[in-house]
Amino acid sequence: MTPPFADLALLWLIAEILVATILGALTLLFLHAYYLDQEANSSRKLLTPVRRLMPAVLEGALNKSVVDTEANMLGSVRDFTWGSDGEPALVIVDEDLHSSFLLPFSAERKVGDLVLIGSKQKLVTAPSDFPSGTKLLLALPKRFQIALFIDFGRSISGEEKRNLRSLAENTGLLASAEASCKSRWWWRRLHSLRLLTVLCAGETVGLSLLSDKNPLVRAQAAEWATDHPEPEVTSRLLELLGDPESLCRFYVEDSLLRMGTIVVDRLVEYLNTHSGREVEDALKVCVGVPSPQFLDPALSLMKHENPAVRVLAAKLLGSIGGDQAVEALRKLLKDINAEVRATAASALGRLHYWPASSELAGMLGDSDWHVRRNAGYALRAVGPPGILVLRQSMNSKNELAAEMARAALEFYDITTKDEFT
Amino acid sequence: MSWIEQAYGVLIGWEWIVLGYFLLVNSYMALLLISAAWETWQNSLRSRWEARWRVQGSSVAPTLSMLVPAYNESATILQSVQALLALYYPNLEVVVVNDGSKDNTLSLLIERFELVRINPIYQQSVPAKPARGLYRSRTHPNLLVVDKENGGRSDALNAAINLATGELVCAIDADTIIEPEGLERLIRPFLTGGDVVAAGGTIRPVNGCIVQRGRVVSVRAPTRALAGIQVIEYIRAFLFGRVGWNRLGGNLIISGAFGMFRRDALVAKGGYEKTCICEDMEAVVGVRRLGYEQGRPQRVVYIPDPVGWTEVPESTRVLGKQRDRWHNGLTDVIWRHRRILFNPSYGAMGMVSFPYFLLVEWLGPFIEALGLLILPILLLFGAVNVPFAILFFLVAYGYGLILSISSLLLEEFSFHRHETIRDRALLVIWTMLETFGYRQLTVYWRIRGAWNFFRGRSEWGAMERRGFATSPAS
Repeated sequence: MTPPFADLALLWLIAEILVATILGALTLLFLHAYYLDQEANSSRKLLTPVRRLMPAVLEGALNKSVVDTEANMLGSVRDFTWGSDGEPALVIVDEDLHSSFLLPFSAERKVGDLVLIGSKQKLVTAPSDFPSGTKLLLALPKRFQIALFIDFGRSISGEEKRNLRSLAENTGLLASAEASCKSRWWWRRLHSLRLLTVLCAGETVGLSLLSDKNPLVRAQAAEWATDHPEPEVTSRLLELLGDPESLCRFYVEDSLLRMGTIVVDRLVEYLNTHSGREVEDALKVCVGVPSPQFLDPALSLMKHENPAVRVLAAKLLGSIGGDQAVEALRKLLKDINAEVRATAASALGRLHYWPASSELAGMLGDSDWHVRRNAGYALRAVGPPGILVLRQSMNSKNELAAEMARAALEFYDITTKDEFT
Repeated sequence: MSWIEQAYGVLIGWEWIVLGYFLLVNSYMALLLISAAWETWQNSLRSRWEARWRVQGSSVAPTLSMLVPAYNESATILQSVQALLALYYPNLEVVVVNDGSKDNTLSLLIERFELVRINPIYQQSVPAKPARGLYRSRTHPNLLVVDKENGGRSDALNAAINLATGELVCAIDADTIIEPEGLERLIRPFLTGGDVVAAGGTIRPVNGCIVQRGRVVSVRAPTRALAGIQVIEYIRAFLFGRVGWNRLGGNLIISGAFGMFRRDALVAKGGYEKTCICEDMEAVVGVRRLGYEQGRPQRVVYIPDPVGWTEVPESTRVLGKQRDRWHNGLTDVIWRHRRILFNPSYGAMGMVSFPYFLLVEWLGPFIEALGLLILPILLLFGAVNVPFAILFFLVAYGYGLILSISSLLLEEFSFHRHETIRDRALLVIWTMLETFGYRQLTVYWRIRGAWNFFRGRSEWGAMERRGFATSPAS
């Protein structure tokens, strides 16, 4: 058979192209392995010493004894010298690294009196007003600087975090991250904002990024907002509760919950002025930071046409408590939606509200299994009056009620025992 | 026309079919590779410097139940459960189902985790054999153990679904090792897309790797050929075979060893199908099908970086049974859901991904086997130009090699699990050897699997475990 479209020459050409592609791919694979080896090598030799000294830098306690102590611990550091102006100077003499093709520029890099790699001949004097910590970091390639800031930023707070931020300011990293937040590429904006979030910085760009067109950037901006609970930020954050992207809504809810009671006033105002789907997400936040201030909005929202909102209103009322709340919950026990009834029953149980025992007993025969189960749990939770009602219900003519009452009395689980008995 | 001429015509026609099939399969593969490369790149951009601890510490993170069916797992169960309890995720519940084990799996669990018998009120949402006993741990209150009669993996998973309280459920095998941050990564699609009903994570063979205290501490390429070739297969299958589908009609398979579902979607579907031996694929297809039919969410996402590690067979006998079962199950699922095929009301699933599974995954071994059988006949008749046949074989082999090496490249560039040149060299060697013998064996096993389905024979078979390699320190 002689194929019409592919004579031997054509097929031969295809075979050659394939062989070339395979060889190219293999070369890439092994070059990448070599790159990784070198990167790990550089990281070990460059980053490890600085990482060891960072806690002292952040505490402002970088002195000769710290450097000397660390020098003994670090295998990759071949030599330490002390700067002529009394500033600590770190000299890592490592000719192997100098020859590494991965660090053609940083190998030659010299900042102040700090020379990371190369030889002692390259040692130069630093300007005296250059803080030693900054010198230490500037000597690192930028990708290592960022790695270091991200690593440390996530595990420190307070004064240390402020020091880290000023170090980032001195090294120019903050300015460069803020500039990148205006990039046309979403991933640059995202990555820069992530660095700014870790450093609790970015006041000039964070607010505008809450309105970014990319949902990932908006979500990141919501995360950034946690440490910036200024009025204009929280207002914008609340507006994002109606965001069409679920990821954004998740981070907005999370940030508002982390802000805590600071946002209560604004949430009350928000609940009073909104009525759409966004109210659901706002209510989830309210349940997490229950406050008596939410009582009026909750009483109003328990009549909302959307059952999901009524469910959350019942949860909120259950976490607020008080006479008005329990009266409202008793009304919700008769709601047409089963989930609302089940949540109201659960909330009354959580409040140990025994006067509702007879109503809860009636719900043991509800057509919905979840309502029956929650009524059973609630009766267990209200204590002796509830147990009595459950015992009586075991003889109920309604088989569903009798069965659930029996199950509730037999119910035993070590995790919920304290809660319900 | 003489019969020889007629036979000649048929054979030539067959070769044209093979050529056309070759083009179709390779076009699918090329598309998948491009899609996977794009998806992996986007994923790496999205996840760079991401604060995953945020989800860990969030009170609005979805609750999650891990479902762990265990049958005669006394050798590994304690280590596995301990590793699961140590996973980084808030609101995590672990539901272990002792599926009528004949060994001391249950007593080991009772003793080690101080299990106490409990009587929770729960609903039989999906069909499962009744529980003999329910236990909760005093030391780890988020550990729930169900003891029930043996009913198979699907039944055990259904029993766990009935008891699970999480919004999401993650089904794993009792011997799967999940990376510490794996769950947080796998949760992400559910946060990102409200329409996501299931998400799958990458599975890698653990053979050859060093495991300490339920964690893979050093990733090494296996030195045994059978396991080594399976590493390549898994990388190729998961990285571009599944990630690639994210943008081309969605996945139809989520590995039973590490897959996450919205509990309500799985309950609406009726749980895992007990009569299907490929219950993981059936669950995904079923959930998606229901989504299309009822206008519910149905998106399934694959995430390349969460990794679950599992032991793969190192004997041809066990491997053969496994592949037999997989193809048997694939045939079963395609037959059960044949209504989806080329049905536009099932969107891209009906028009792209389901046809792929039929034409490429299911039909592939038959075409390949026929090609291999007919080629000598054609050569005998002189119906094939010999240099052309050789070159065609080289091109086909080279193309397969490019796909495998591209997957390796994608994997190493994105996740660089194997950092040493020795490991990569080993993997390249296994890639090159895959075509000689191993591939033909899998063709045979897969055809046998389909044949067994039509004969009504389906069985799980037993996996022989060699255990994890541990370093001297462990």
